[in-house]
Amino acid sequence: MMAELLTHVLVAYVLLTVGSWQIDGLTPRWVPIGMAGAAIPDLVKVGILVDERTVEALLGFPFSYGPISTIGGVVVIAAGITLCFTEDRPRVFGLLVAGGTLSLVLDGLRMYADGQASFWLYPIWWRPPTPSLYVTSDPRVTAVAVVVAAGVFLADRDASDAPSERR
Amino acid sequence: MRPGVRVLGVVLLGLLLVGMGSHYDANYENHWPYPTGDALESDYETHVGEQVFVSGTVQAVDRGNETVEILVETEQGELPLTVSGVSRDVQPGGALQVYGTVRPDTHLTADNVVVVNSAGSSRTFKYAVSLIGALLVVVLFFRHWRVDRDDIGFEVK
Repeated sequence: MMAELLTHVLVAYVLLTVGSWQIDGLTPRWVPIGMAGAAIPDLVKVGILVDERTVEALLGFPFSYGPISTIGGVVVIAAGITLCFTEDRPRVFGLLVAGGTLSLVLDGLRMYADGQASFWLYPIWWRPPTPSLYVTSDPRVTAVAVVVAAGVFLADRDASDAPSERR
Repeated sequence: MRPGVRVLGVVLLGLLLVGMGSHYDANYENHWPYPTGDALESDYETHVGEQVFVSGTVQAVDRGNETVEILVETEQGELPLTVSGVSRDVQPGGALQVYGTVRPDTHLTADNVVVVNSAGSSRTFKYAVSLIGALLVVVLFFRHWRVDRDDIGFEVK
């Protein structure tokens, strides 16, 4: 029930790449970290591979994958991924959380039949109102993301080729 | 931070995530403003007349009566519901959100319907495209980062 992962990571790519044109510390190596962060809420789809009921049977208590697609879950998973890095961890963590939050915000703009999004602010139990802009399986959303990302990729390549600045 | 400390941290965060999964599951029903699929499944008739918001997979479409048969996933299995008032074009295999009223005999009258997937094929599209997204992240990542075997973890290339 979410904008698919490609759209999430492409939106992160576009924002971070454009941001890197202005912000000195935001070099190309940080872009895939933010993109990976944008994919964190989509890990909730692990439920397709391992059913919640199977996990409940293993644990012996009720369980839901739900928190993965929430602010609380993104922060915890981002922290875990951050510990897999040997250097620059604060910035890794910051970009993972920023990417994950971006995806949650995008998902919060989707259509919900009663006009309110999911509990994506968990541990705050509140469903923010949604402007109901799109449904996730709409290929036009993906198409727009691909076209904009391709444009940014080309602009970024030209900027990198320019003789003057940039590392 | 030594690798051992980081591994311990990952384990603790994993346990925290499992704890959150349990907390979320235990509290969801208290915060969800409608009867859940589980509640409908276990005691349907007591919820007749209430507003409900369910998601389900389309089983069958009856164009003559403008009804759609959906299956709602519950803890016990799948609950079949007949939804009337669906004017949107859907096919079996598609996914719907239904906001409506509970009627007797596992029947819902829809006030608003969102077609999440119009057919099973749109789900396939979503997963295929998501896979491309995941590959893109992995490829871009390893252009700038590599595995540090001594320290166990990722480092800048």
